[in-house]
Amino acid sequence: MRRLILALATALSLAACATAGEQTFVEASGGNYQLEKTHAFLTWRIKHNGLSNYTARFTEFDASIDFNPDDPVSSSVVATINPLSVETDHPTNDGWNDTLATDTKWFNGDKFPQIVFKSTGIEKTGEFTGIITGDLTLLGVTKEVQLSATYNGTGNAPWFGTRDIIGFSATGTLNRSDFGMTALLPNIGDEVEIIIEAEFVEEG
Amino acid sequence: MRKYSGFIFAAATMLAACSGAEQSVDQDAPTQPQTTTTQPDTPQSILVTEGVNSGTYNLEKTHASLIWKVSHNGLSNYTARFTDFDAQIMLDAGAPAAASLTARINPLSVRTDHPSGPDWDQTLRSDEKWFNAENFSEITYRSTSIDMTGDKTGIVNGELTLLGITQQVPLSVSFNGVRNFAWYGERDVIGFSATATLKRSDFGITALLPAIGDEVKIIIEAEFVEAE
Repeated sequence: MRRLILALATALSLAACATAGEQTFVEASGGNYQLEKTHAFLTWRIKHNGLSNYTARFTEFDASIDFNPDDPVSSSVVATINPLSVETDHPTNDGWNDTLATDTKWFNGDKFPQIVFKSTGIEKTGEFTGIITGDLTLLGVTKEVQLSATYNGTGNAPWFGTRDIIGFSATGTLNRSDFGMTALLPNIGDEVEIIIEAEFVEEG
Repeated sequence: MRKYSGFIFAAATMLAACSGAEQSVDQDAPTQPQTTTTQPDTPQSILVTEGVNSGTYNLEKTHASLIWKVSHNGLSNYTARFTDFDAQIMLDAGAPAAASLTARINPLSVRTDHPSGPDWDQTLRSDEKWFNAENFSEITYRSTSIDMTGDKTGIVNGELTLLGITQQVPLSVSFNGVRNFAWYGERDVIGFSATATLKRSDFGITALLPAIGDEVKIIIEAEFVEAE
């Protein structure tokens, strides 16, 4: 199976100039798109004692886009994150992920099993860039958060047939204290930087 | 003669920071983020002008991250990392030109969080098209020189050895400061952020070019603790 995928990927790579990664709205279909989870990354960073940006991620999340290439700002996105999927790669403490995921000081994931983002508006800042404003619900608190997003383009892959793939990069910052997460402030920074890379596949 | 190069800016920053309060990091009591236990206050100076000792610094692995990104069909930047790596800095605060950095990465520790499970990590680390870790069990980096670009920033020039091929790869580095913590006693903790880009084809990794980009962006966050 892997060989097959690699062969397909190789085939794709030959045609990549024509079929993948074109940064244009014209080629993209409108409609609903679902997160292509094998090409989606949600990383977050936070200052640690001013010495480094502690870097972790969530590994389980989903999102869908109602995409309107003719009027991109009328598109919308909804995303859900499983807080129990937080991954720090701590080298020795196997329990650190669990502590972060479930401790009432941190993501308290047993009580609040979902982090949700729902866009409320999009403002264009460039041909392929915009600010996505939305409501983030974390620990039961809903606050407005903005994502600075880039539409990287649209492409096709043989294994998705005629269904389009669209790709985005986005960043945002929030203050964790806005959501009541105040543990270890200010040594562990208040500002959380969010870095998203995500592809979406047109619904089949 | 000991070989010294690299990280000149760390020491230079100590000197330069005298004039700039912005170089100081926050003054509050440090705590250990890997536990929820609050540590006792350690009201020591945390200005970088003070207290950076000369000597050997080892990576503080609980606060170190090594991420890489590569363009996927132009649609997204595939984001993965190595989770097992080590590094050492030799720092002479009185002779900033005489510092060096070495690092090594275990390619078996590549991690992508592929939602279907660990098979893809296995392929990436072992396949001869990718990191081929059975034949090349270590990725290494050794600094060779440094160029200051600001009070607390610099370019570390060095040699990266990957798949048995050695190429120059410069790191763009920011020195974030120095602090002391109760649990390390007198041993200093210093922190850096760094980025680099390389072309994987320079090291013979040409699989799936150009759909999977040639340029690999590397993002490093790392703290180091003075050796005992």
